[in-house]
Amino acid sequence: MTAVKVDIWSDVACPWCFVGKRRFEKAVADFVDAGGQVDVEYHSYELSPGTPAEVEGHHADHLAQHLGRSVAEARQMLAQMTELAATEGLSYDYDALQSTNTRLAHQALHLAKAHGLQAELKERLLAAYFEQGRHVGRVEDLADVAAEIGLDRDEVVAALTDGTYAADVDADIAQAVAYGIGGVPFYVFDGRFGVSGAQSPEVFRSALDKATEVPA
Amino acid sequence: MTGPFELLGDDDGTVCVDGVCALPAPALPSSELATPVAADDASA
Repeated sequence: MTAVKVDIWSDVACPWCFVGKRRFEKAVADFVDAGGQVDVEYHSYELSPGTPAEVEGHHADHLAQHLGRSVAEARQMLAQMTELAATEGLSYDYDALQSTNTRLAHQALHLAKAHGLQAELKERLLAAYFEQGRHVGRVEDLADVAAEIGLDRDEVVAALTDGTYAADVDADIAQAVAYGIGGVPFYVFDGRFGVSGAQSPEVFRSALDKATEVPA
Repeated sequence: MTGPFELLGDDDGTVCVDGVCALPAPALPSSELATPVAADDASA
């Protein structure tokens, strides 16, 4: 059976992207158990390109300010997201989370893709950001994370400093715009079927099955 | 229809758009809320 190509637009600072990743992985595991094959490629999407690299204060404070709500409301929202993430086996830690701009992280993901390690870095970056309170917006910190999954630290520093993959990030975002993608995560199966959001494993499995059908 | 493909699944709001992520509205006691809760979105 030919592998189903799945193109996924997502961001690192995107709580639904990590939840969706787990749900999608359940569907993929089921699909593979049934004899299927999947080829996944992640694409860049910046949810908040205007966010600076360095952000002071608790995430709830920024959330409250952004929405014009109280800090108590914001903390409640984050607590609910944390509970939901826990149902997928994820341990979100908003007290430790360090908000930042994700453009450099996306460039690192393109470097990782060039080395066949994109999936590994995607997982590591999401965990670093949501579960481990690590900074994912600085060159040196990103190089540390990338080195943990086998990338050459010096190469990462050089690529991020030089903006080697900046154009690739822009191309991904331009493609998302061309597709009319307005939110992430967004999944495209075999270029024919789209799934918006962190939907259930059943929805993802259905999409994988449909993608194996011969077009009429 | 988004893009050149058929959309599958439900529109259940589990996405982030422009830095804003859809989340359930907070369920705090009204005495703890500084503003009314009408929407169901939050940047998370």
